[in-house]
Amino acid sequence: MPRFIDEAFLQRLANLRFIVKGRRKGQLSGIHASPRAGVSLEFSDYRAYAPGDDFRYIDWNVYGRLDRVLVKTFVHEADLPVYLLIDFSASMRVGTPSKAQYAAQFAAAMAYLGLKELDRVGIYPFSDRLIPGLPPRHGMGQMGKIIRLLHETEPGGHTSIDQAITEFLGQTRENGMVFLISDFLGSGGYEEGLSRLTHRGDDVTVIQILDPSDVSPATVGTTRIVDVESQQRMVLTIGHRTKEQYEQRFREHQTALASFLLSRRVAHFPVTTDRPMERFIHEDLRAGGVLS
Amino acid sequence: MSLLHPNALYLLLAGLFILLLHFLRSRERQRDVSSLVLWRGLPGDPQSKAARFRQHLDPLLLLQLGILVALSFALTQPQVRVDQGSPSSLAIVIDGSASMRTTTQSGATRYEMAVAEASSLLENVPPERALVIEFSEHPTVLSAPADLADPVAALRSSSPTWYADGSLDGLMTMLGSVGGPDEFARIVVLSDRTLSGLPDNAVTILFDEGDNIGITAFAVRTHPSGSGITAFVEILNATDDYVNTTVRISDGESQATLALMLAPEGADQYVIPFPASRGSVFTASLDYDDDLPSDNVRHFAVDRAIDVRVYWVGERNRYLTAALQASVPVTEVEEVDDADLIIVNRQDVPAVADGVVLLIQSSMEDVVTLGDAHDVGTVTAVSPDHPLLRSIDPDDLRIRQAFDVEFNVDADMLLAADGLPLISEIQDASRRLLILSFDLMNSNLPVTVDFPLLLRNLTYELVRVPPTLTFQSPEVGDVLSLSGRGTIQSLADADDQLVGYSDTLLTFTPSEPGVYTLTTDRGAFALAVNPPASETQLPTQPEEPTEAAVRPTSDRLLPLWSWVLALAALLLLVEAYLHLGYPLISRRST
Repeated sequence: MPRFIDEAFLQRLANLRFIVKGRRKGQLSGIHASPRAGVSLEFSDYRAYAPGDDFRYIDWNVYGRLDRVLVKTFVHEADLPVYLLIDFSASMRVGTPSKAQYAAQFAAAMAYLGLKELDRVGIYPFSDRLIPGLPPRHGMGQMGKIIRLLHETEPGGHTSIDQAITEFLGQTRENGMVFLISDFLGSGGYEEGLSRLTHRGDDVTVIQILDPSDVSPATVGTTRIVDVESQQRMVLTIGHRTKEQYEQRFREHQTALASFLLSRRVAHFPVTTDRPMERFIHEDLRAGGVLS
Repeated sequence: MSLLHPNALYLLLAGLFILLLHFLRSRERQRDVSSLVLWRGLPGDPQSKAARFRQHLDPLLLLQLGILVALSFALTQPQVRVDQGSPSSLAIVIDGSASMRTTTQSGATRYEMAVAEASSLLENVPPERALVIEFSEHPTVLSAPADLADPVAALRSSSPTWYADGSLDGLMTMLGSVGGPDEFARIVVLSDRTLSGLPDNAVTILFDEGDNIGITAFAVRTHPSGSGITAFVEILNATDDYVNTTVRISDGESQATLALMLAPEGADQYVIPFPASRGSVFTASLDYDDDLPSDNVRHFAVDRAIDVRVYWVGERNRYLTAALQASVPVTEVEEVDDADLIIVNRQDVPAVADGVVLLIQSSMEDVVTLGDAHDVGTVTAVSPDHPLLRSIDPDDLRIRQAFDVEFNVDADMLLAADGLPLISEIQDASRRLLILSFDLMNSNLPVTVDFPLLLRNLTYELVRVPPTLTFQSPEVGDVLSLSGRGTIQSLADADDQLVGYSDTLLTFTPSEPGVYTLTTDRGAFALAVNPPASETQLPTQPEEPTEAAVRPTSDRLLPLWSWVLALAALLLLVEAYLHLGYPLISRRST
């Protein structure tokens, strides 16, 4: 997988924060404010200064030695686990860039935001079942592991969101903020799993990543269509009429998905891979109340 | 229409490869989708435009083939002949520098070959539309349109010069004098080297046949011990092979030799001792038979400075004599009228009307009168920047006694002590006096280096002896100054034929190499003039004359390759647009 995240991209995320819906057990309100002062706080890490940071947390010794303005961050007393469930089934391989690449970049961005806020971030790739991931951990050391995992995981296999969520719930006991990232185009269901997830009390956000051709296929004449997950094939002459019918069917599929998610009070963000990631994060997610 | 490189049409064979790829791709047209769930049951659209379009015609294939054809055609450099109706004007610039004397394999010199080529170019051009320039460091117009003379005849009667190559600026100036480069439909430069920066309507035809090695630098220095000389030689081997040769240094009576092996296409320097030499004119020569023998010989004349003629008045002072001889060559004369410098030491003298006088502890009637002596202290420079005090440090000087001085004319005080002048200068229209108004032998000046420095400054600034009389290895075309050697009587070349020079500027611009003899009232001086070293040159990359250059007829060739290339680029853009953006046949495979 090509390099999908860099320091400049992360810098531009520096001022974003997760918006947590409601209070959770054992957690304080305003949990995602700036790093806090106080003798009871334990030093955690350094990060580059971003406009708006409290000057009092600038480490002047480091500045004197390195000519770099870094602020100290501290471990919070109570934090929020952030779970990233990423669909790495074969269908995510479609497109240029592939949906899997887009998903990985998004996951890395969310992981960075969580770790920056001193949250624990875990990552759970899946296809028809969970692929070994990383349980929630603090610190920027976790960031490196997440990026490495995202780099090393190749899309493959069928999609089964239900099965993956079932296994995920078996592995995690604590509810938190869940990002479920998938194209939701597989043949397997998702309703049961999502219902169980919301029932546990997780704050679930669905990121539906689509290739533009998923939304509106090109009219290419007679073509052999291959399902990348099942390798099933069919020959179809795709003209304007076929295209319109496909788009109608896709709209129905999306309506069904959105209705279901709405009924479970799950935020739903469909995005196509031709939309710049930064705009998606800064505009769509902020407008949707996920980030501030 | 003609094609300069018809072999480029072989590139069309790549069309077979494109066709092959197209058919292979057509057979395997396939589209991966995320899931068939949304596709199942959809009716096909066999009557759609896209389906029919693809069945019958693939525009991308046609475009690719079109691009290939256009590219191939552009690479052939097609040209069409455009008749301009009337004969076009033509400027011939023929290199007349010394290197054009090189003999080619045909037995003719480069210049002769260039003349033949230029003559054929001028065949169909009427005289009123032809300009012929012999181009070198000193370019000459052989035939101008206004002359209405036969340019071919002018060419054939010309010969190469001994000058160095001309500069682009010189050529532009020359062309500007006849209306500028744009005045001519074509400018053809016939030369043995390329001249960068030529106008767009100029082409160069190269004539650089011939093997050559040559001496590019030669100098001689007298050995410090006084025993003979040391010669410094630089030799350029412009061939592409190793060359065995011998370099000889001769003073006309004896010679020193050195056997050499010269590396190809490179220059090497050699230091050759010549202890037995007592001559003043030297010749370096190579034992090698090449195509440009004139640069196998180079001369060097050890120039001698003229003596300063001194007339003494009063006591002799051996310190003064020694210091003077240390600074310049000196000859003592018996007649005051013959003197360059009059030295008056400890004697009052009547006024002199003209000349240069060094007045030491002496009075001169109506000019300067010395009075009583007084003890003085620290020496100070009144005019420290004066040229007569150049390099002299007053702090070094210790002077016990100085005299009261009464000047009857305007004087400049240079050094003083306790208000008394020590060294003063008087200059008027015809006289220049340097006055030392202190007891010279009761000072340390005679034993310091400041004394010869002062006398050297005196001879340079007042007697006007040139600081150096060595001609710096002059070359043909250099402007040589003949001043500083006395009154010129004659200037003769190596064959004792008198040659002209500027008797107002006292300059001479040699047009041929050789050892010239300048005769003045101060003796004979040798001037060794050599061919320009820059004319011994490495060969340039051969360049075939273009058709445009060798065909100066009334019509001209219009190159089409740029238009065809633009067409190919346009087709490429259309293909990119169709491939990436045009929805009807978009092929984005996902």
